[in-house]
Amino acid sequence: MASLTPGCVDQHPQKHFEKFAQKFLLAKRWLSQYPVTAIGIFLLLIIISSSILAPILAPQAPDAQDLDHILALPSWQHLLGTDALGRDLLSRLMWAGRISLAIATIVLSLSLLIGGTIGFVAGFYGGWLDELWMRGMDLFLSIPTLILALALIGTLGTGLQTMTLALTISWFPAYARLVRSQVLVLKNQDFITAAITLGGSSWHILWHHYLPSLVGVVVVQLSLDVGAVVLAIAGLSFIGLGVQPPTPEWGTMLVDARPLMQVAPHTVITPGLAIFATVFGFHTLSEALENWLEPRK
Amino acid sequence: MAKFLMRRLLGGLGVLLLVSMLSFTLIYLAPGEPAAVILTQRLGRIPTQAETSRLAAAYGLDRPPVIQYLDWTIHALRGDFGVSLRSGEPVITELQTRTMPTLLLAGATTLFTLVISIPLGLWAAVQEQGLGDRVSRFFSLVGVSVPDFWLAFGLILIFSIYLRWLPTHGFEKPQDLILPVVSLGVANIARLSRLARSQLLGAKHQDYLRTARAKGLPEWRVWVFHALPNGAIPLVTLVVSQFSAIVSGSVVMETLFALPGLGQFYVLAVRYNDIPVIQATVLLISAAFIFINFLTDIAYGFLDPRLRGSTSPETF
Repeated sequence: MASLTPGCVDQHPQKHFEKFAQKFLLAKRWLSQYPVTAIGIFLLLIIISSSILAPILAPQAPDAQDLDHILALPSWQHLLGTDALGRDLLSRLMWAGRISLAIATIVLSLSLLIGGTIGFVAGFYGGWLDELWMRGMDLFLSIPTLILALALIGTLGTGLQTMTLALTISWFPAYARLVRSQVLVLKNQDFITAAITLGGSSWHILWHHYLPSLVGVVVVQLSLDVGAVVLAIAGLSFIGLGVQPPTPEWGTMLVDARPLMQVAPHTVITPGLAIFATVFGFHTLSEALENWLEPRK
Repeated sequence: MAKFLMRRLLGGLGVLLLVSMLSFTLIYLAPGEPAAVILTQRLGRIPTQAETSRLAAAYGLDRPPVIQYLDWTIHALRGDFGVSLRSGEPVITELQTRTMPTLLLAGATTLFTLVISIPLGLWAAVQEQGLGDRVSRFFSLVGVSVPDFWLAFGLILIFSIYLRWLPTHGFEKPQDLILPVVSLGVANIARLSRLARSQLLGAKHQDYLRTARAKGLPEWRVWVFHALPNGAIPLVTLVVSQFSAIVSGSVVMETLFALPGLGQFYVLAVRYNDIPVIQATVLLISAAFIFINFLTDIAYGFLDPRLRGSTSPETF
């Protein structure tokens, strides 16, 4: 990338600032070429930072009631207005984002860890282990995601832990499949054969040859799935089987606001926009990563 | 192909067997022993030890799990999934009346998705970098990100409350399905039209398209009869996997629009910890999908004659 611009070759290590400026210009050019990606990533930065910093940035506590201003329209006091109980919508949205993103992070880390390990071992060793594990994955993949998640919620009861567990069980088989198929392709590549011929140890080959080639595909899928998990959490909460009130969550905020659709449209619009922006952001991020990692496509 | 289909059929039956084990195990996942779980639901209080063991004996819940599983499976094969804890009715009678609305919803959504996204994909591919391409790319980006239930709110507000054209909920007239179908369909249209576009663009500079043009075929025939069928297999795969997503989505949509389908029934069961209903629904839905996947394998053979001779799934 750096060699695109003449003069960017590192001849003067002391000119750090100049290098930084060059990179900045490249980034700027890239963003102006892809304005949609720029918007998506900008939205993501806002959502992620406001979720992480919700305890500091949120103007009010998420459950603090201002009974003098029920269903207030956006104002300086309440930037996005208030809900039926006089709670500040902006603060609730920020805290809700925190919950959704935290659960999505846990679900996807666990899915990657469990599914990735299963997929890698199955693809790498093959044989009966592969056959057995993959039929097991077929079991989970033959049931639609929400149906499987709801079956577990229905048996174990609602709650944050149950939902996290249920979503993980619904999500990890896809990672097992993805990693396995990638490993199967890599297995027969010349550079892997070369590494084996050169006498590299299994660990060396795993760390230095397989993992770097797997990272790209997995990261693209992960960033796409964050949006999907956030949507699933909102959907489950929407039907009352996910995050339980009074904990703020985008889906529950939408259900609460449903009867007020006509009276106070802002209570319906804002949580929906928050979900939309999050999914949109992760979607564009995933696309940008894919283009960047595999420019041929 | 026959050998390959045979293997897929056996594989599918194997998965179905695993699903039946998983569904059966659900009752053991619930905290407490099964008889106590059932009684707690029925009585609304913690049952005494005597009550629990009496019910366990009556339902055969005191037998070894393997025997219970076999018993449950044999009954399930006959269509007997036990009695709903919520209503006290046999699970199968309610499942029967509930299946049709969901099938209608899912079928109509799939049809709606196809009817919109294939022409949209064609338009985008024909006018590459032009208006059609821009419209479809914008739509595919925005469409996948809109939560379906939020979209449903917007549609209800516009078409039911302000314009009063369509009902807000219910399931009596055909127009009752319009809003749920549109809400469920938009994200799928976004994905499918995008894939259709890229498949068609992949075919754009192939020799067979040039041949078709050289024969003097009109441009629309070139696209519809030569470019489209060659890129059809990934499209079919996506439509099938979207059907699964639509069934997931129907859970939320049926609750929102008060459609008396399987999804709404399932949500009620989950809320009530009605385990026999949950077991039956999981088994039924997964059996349906295993069957659909098998049909898809057959469809591949029709779409690509090269696959008919093959025996392994690797060529797919």
